[in-house]
Amino acid sequence: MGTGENNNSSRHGNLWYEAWLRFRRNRLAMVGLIMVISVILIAIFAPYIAPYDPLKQLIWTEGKAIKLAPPSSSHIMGTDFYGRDVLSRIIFGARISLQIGIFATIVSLLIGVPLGALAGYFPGWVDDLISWLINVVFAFPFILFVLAVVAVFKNPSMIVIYLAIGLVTWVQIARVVRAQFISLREREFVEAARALGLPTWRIIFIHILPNALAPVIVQATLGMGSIIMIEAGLAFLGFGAQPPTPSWGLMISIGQKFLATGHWWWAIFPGLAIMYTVLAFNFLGDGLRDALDVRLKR
Amino acid sequence: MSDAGYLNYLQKRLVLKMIKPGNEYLTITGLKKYFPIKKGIFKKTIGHVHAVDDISFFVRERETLGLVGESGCGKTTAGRTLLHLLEPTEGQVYFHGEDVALLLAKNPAKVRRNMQIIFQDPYGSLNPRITVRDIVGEAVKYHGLYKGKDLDNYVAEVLQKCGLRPEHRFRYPHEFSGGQRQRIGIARALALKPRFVVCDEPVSALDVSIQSQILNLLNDLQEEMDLTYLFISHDLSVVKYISDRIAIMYLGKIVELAAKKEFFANPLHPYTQALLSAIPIPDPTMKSTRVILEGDVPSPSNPPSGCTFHTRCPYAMKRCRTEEPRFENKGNDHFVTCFLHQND
Repeated sequence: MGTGENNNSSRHGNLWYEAWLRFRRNRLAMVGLIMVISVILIAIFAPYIAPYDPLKQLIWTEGKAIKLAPPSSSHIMGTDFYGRDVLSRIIFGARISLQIGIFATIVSLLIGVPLGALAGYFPGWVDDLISWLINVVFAFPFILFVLAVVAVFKNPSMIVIYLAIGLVTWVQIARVVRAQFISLREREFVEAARALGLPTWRIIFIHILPNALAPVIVQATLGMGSIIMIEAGLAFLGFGAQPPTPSWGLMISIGQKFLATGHWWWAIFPGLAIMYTVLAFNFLGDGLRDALDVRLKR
Repeated sequence: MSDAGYLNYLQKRLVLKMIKPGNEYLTITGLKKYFPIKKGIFKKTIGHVHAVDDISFFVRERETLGLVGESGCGKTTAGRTLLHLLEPTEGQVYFHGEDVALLLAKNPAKVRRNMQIIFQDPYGSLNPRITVRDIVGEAVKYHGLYKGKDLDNYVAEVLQKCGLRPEHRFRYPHEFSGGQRQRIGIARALALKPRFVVCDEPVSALDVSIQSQILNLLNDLQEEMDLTYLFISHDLSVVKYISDRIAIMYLGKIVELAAKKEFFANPLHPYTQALLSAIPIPDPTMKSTRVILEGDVPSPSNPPSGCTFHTRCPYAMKRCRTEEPRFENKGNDHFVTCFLHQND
């Protein structure tokens, strides 16, 4: 880049830099970005921020009264049935949610990008086969699929959950990549690359893929939100993170039983945390869409 | 072999004899490109678009052959098919007497280095994500012409030759105007030191003032690098300026081909005559006799029988509806496809 830091912004720098300039002007996008960064920071610095150990049952130190204690100055979000600090559990829960979001997205990208690219670049039976696969996965109730994958392993580790979620969400990525490749492979600069005698892999990786990336980034960001939701749903059903892991979905799952008895804080606060995080990724994704969606002609 | 097939074969032999493949620089014989029309969930082929329908001609070394036709007549497809960027449905292209299809299988780099293309759209033809240096230099490097420091110098040199500043190579395409982008496209094609270049409407997307600059650049580069051009355009005045010989396409076929002077002085085909009469003459006192063509261009997916022009031809005869005229040499290398000028 080198010349990217020029004040005369529209003249210099590459398209990514210009996208950032557009992104910065979008207030909601910036809010989304700050929210996402806040979640990331909370996840990274969880041990320093959390007032208590998320797994520690405080009844041993603070007495029985600490069981299901409502929000107070010492426990801002109250405590749960086992006397654990809800705030601390939510803070550590950010780690779980982000890990799931990131690793499951990586899995879905690793599957979706190559398959989508193949389908989009090679019309005919390659496209037919991959499109068929995409449609099958799409038509399948995804939660059932994830449950089935997780159920195969008796004691599902987090890696199994990443894989299971990635194995369903890749179709979204693949569809976007395929559509991009189909439109880009007809572009004159791709034809020029062919006329120059460049090999197919160079055409795909240097001439098409970088131009197909923007919608993929948007899709992956929006996907992070839905993956976090999927994980919460899995945990709620008891197939995701296992106790005593401080997973938001798991907290809601157990906490909701106490809603009726007036102990609302156990389930509501993790719910708000999920909402905050999903909203953050959706704002960011929408902002990215607006910032990156440039007609290539400009 | 069916009757039509046999006729076709004879016709091809005839053309072959006349234009002697191998002796001419670039020879095209019986080139066809049909696109299938698919319908329904089973993608059944229900017909074909006859984009290029049996064209034969040759291009001499260091000349510019202008290929003219209205939009949709298949001239762009002809250019692409000729370079085998689109697989021909039928027919051969000979470059220096060698079949390009075979050469492509044997030594694709040789074909690609020698035969290049300049595109119409200066916006769509450059990858927006890579710098001009990579746009121009990538293939040079890949084909091993230059590398490292030499490559950088060479790219700068080519840019300069095409009227750009060497320091422009660090920029991205969106930082240039349409005319400059077209120069980048030209630099990219010529960086491989090709012998033959298809210019696919290289100026039709540009302002008139820029058009002449680009045309002059193409002329200068032709002199300097001994290039041979196939210049595709819908603009007769542009073609008149740059070409040595001119071919007219109508519905996928070449209807007339002649040296420029002969072409304008003595147009034989009724379609050519109509086209030429449509050129505005910048003199209000001159009365031109315009030949107005009736109707629209028929669909290339269902071309008329016989001579494809008979539906609009003011001189159409009975046999024009049933028989196909041959693409014949009327002497002086003036070729025409019309029964008015066919002797049998």
